[in-house]
Amino acid sequence: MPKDVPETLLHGLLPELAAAISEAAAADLQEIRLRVGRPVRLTLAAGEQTLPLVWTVDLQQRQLMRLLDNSVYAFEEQLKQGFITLPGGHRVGLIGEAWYDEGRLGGFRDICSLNVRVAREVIGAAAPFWPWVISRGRVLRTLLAAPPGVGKTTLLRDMVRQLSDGAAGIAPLNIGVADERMELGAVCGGEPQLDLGSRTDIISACDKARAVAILLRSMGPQLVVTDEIGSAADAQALSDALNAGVGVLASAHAASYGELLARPHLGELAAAGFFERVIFPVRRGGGVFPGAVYDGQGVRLL
Amino acid sequence: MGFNLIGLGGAAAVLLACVGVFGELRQALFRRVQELDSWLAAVRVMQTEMTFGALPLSRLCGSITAQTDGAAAAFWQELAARLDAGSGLAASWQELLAENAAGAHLLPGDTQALRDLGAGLGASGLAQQKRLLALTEERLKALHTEAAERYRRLARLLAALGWSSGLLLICLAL
Repeated sequence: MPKDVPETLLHGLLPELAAAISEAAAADLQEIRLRVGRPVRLTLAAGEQTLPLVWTVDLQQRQLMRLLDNSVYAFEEQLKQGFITLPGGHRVGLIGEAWYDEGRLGGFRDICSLNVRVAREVIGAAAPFWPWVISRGRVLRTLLAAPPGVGKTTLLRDMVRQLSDGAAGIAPLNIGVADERMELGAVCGGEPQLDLGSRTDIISACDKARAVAILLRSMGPQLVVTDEIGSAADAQALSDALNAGVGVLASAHAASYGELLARPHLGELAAAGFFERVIFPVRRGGGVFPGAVYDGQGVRLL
Repeated sequence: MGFNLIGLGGAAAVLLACVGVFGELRQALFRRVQELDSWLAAVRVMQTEMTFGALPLSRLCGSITAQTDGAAAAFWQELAARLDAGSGLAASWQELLAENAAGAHLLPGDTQALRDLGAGLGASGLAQQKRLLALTEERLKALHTEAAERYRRLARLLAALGWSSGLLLICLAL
């Protein structure tokens, strides 16, 4: 079994697929792409690898029921959003033929593609970012922006862990995490599968706007953290956090500062100086480092 | 004197055998009621856990095993072991039914209700699962009522038949 494939993930895969992956040199596995009628493909840090296993409808159905713990009803809301989260924090995107219930997306039938994204914890990944995020013992309102695949979520997770445990060079913080897509903490059975620190409270599978409001009202966090913001409701939720005097740490998809400003809602927040730091992390030599850093006025600091 | 004792012993043996045979039939009727009772309890646990917690099946197995006893608890315990070993739900469920793991005294109609439950369990959204469980509960209730009624009706008759058939055989042998 390759050391790089987490045991929690292999347990959720069909034996045929787990065996095929085990036989492959799946070093630093990032994604498993399963498309009906096509060979299984792995995304590795070094590139793509095609396995000698053609994915059939039967395999797809069996795999899906296994991933769903034979309990479609337990994942109903996640299925409507096109993903499920597995123990260990691994995330499975799934698409097929959409069906509607009274005008609203009800879910997908005849699932044709699965994308299994391997969750990783990189302990210490946040260290190079602290000089930009912490100032005078305070966490600046920070947005991590990057295209998919750079490692924003992994970075955000390590930031939360370090801030919560007091490992970031300042006093430990009580942190509220709005984990709408269950990627940050990957709570299963009430227990976070990924370490977010000992002073962190997590709301899972709840839309960010509502989750932030509940966190502010009920948990009294010193810092609110959320992943992949973008909508008007998300922006409003972050503004509410600011009004409550609570710090904010968030991530969003954007490849450059210009692209960020062009995005509705998020661009308005950035232009208004809501974020005291906007950081664009980049992958370099197997790690993630600050690529570009902007202050609240849009001045590039790095 | 010796002949009389042997005859008396034989008569007692015949009587006990007849009472035992009919007693077993009576017990089988009673155990069916108990097994249906156990399944009704299991379905109610499923309704509660699914409705209020959307508990997935792997955790539902433990919940049912802890909250019920008898045939259904044993069935769910074995089902949990098979699911944990990587078997599919539908196949495991039907295999267990074929092995009479749901209850050795259930009738084909009872097993059919459970087979239908297994065919739909976990395969749809919460609303459909609730409907499936409500329908199963209705069917099991009806079967339970019929089984209890049958037991009530036949229990005394079978006891009487045990004694009377034993006595009849003894009389015929004399």
